[in-house]
Amino acid sequence: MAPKSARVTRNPELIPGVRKISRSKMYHKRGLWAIKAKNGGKFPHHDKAPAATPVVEKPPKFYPADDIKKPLSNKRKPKPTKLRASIIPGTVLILLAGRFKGKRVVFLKQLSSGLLLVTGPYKINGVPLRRVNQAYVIGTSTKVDISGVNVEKFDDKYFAKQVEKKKKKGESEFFEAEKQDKNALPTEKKDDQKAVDAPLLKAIEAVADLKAYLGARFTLKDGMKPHELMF
Amino acid sequence: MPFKRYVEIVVIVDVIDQNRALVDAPDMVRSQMNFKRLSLTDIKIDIKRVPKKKTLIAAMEAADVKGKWEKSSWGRKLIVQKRRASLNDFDRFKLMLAKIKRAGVVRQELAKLKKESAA
Repeated sequence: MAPKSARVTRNPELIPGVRKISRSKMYHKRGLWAIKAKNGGKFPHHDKAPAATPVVEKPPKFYPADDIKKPLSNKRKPKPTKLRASIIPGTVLILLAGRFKGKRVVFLKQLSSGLLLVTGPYKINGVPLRRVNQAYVIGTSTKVDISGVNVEKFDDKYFAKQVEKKKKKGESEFFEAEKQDKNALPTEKKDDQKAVDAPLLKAIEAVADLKAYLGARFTLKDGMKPHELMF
Repeated sequence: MPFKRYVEIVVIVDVIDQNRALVDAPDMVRSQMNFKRLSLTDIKIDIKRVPKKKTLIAAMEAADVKGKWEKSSWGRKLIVQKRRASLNDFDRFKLMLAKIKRAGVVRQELAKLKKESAA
């Protein structure tokens, strides 16, 4: 369906309280005379539809002693943060905080929580598939060709912490078992990383110096003024 | 007579009083400017006092103001400054690699020459 364009008023207000067209002219303009003529001199009148007989409700047998307050209804639906115009899939981002601060990284997509899905690629700079907040990122104008990458399967659930089964508190077992579980990265995650990075690496190696660029960290040097730099 | 202002080059088209001039350029509305905001260049064009915009543009073309400006050392410096300011993060990285490479080549040559003079 064609979108409804904003309705133009037929009788604009010239000054507050003074409209452009008089009452009689408006009557003519609205075509009320034509409607009346069609209906034989009278304005068409529809009788009210017979009201449905109200269902008789019996009064409740039991009233609670105290009034329970109903909490106010909250219909707010959170939506993902608005993505900056400079950040599109394939953009090289500079991470500004966290373990990988200064690293230049490739942007893949925005997740439903609003966080950005990002990858090093891992082979180039050690940044795995990771979520990153848009606020802690500089978007550069360098773009990598991301068309060969399939990021459909990644969402926030993929990055949720693994829930461990509760163990009995035997002291020696406690420390050893915990260590083992934490260090092992499941092989699926490693495979996912490789699957995402393979086409990216090809695209990156096609551009001169891009690999070294992504491997290097961003630093501010003497004389660099961030507010004057073009990224 | 062409003068340089903050970024672009403008022509002085008339003098208003001791402090101000009427300036004009092909891509701007004719306006007054304080002399303190202007720096003289060497370039002069042949116009009468307060020419029409069309004649001004024609005179600038005839004298090739743009070409002369871009060839002058001042003009060339400005172009370099602008280029440097517009460098992308990736461009700055590539520039750094290029500088290192050039320095390496220079140092090699220097080492060679030193060896020769020592020998």
